[in-house]
Amino acid sequence: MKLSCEVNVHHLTRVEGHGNINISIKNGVVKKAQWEVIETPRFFEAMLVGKHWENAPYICGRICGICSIGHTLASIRAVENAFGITPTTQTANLRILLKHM
Amino acid sequence: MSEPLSYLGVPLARPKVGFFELSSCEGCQLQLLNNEATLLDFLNLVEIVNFREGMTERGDTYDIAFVEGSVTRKDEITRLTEIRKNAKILVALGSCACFGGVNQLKNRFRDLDWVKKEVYGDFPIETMEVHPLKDFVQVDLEIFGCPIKKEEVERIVTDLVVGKAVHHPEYPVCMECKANENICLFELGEPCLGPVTRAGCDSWCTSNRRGCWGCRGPAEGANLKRLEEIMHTYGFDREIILDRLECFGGFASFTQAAPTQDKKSPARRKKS
Repeated sequence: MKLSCEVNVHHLTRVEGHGNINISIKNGVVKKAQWEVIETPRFFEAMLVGKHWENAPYICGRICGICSIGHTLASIRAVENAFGITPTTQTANLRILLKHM
Repeated sequence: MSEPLSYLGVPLARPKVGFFELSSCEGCQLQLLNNEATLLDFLNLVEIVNFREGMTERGDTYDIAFVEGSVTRKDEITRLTEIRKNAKILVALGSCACFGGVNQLKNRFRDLDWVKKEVYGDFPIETMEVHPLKDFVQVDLEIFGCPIKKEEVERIVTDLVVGKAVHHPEYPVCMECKANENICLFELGEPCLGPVTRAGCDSWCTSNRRGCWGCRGPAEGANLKRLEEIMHTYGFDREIILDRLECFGGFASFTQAAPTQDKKSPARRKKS
């Protein structure tokens, strides 16, 4: 017998952020697979407008509590790119280490 | 489960608690899960019935609701009101819930439509001015910090469970920093809001040689004027102070009073 069912997950658990999953299967064929992001927007790009560059890593690190290190490092890299700075090998290695924490 | 808990010979009921989030990064809730060393003791103290970030099961019967995040959309008001109705005690968890947190940085622009357009263009998206929880419901207890300091939360929750009054330190981070025998960061060329920010974090940032950003809001009787003098003495300009004061919303009553901190219009930013 081929499977027919509806899978509706409202507010996925054990992740940061609010998301829903809606899947519809008829006779073993996936008819619909929908991923809804229902998270409230927080407008980080606008928050940074007019701010001194030093603020960016502190503010961007707050995008996500679980992967704040990634956001902080990305923000630092953006600032470095803007100024044309290449970090030393030691710094680059330390950052990779941080990402594995 | 181990033996039932008691305090001074009185048996303790394990309160049912729920953790919820509005607009936030969910880092404050994560802080609680991060503390592996004391996690089992913490779980023994309370019965968690709702914690979306940490577990699948959900219940709507709880005594204490911990709500993280600020209110930035109308449906969050409805959700918050519902949580308030279910809970005997509502705790604002973290600076977003207490003051608006980094989310409230968008409030500094006069034109919220511009803020929307800057990020999402013409894509229809619903948002509103950012508010802390207390603007809509009664908040029984605030736990400050971005993120919250887990050791402090454990102390506060223990006090709540055993029925002790919860006290926040009235003194500033500077006190804890001195007690931790740190060299003053001003001497090391780093700006710091330690002299005016409420303690309780055990000088978390400054002990790691990062200046305080004031995430916990003002200490009692915070002397902003004196801070400005100190900053000036060490060669930091007003913009550095204001950037930090406005970052988490805790100092809103101070920054809004300053005439230079009038809301910015997007057009004006181009000149700097």
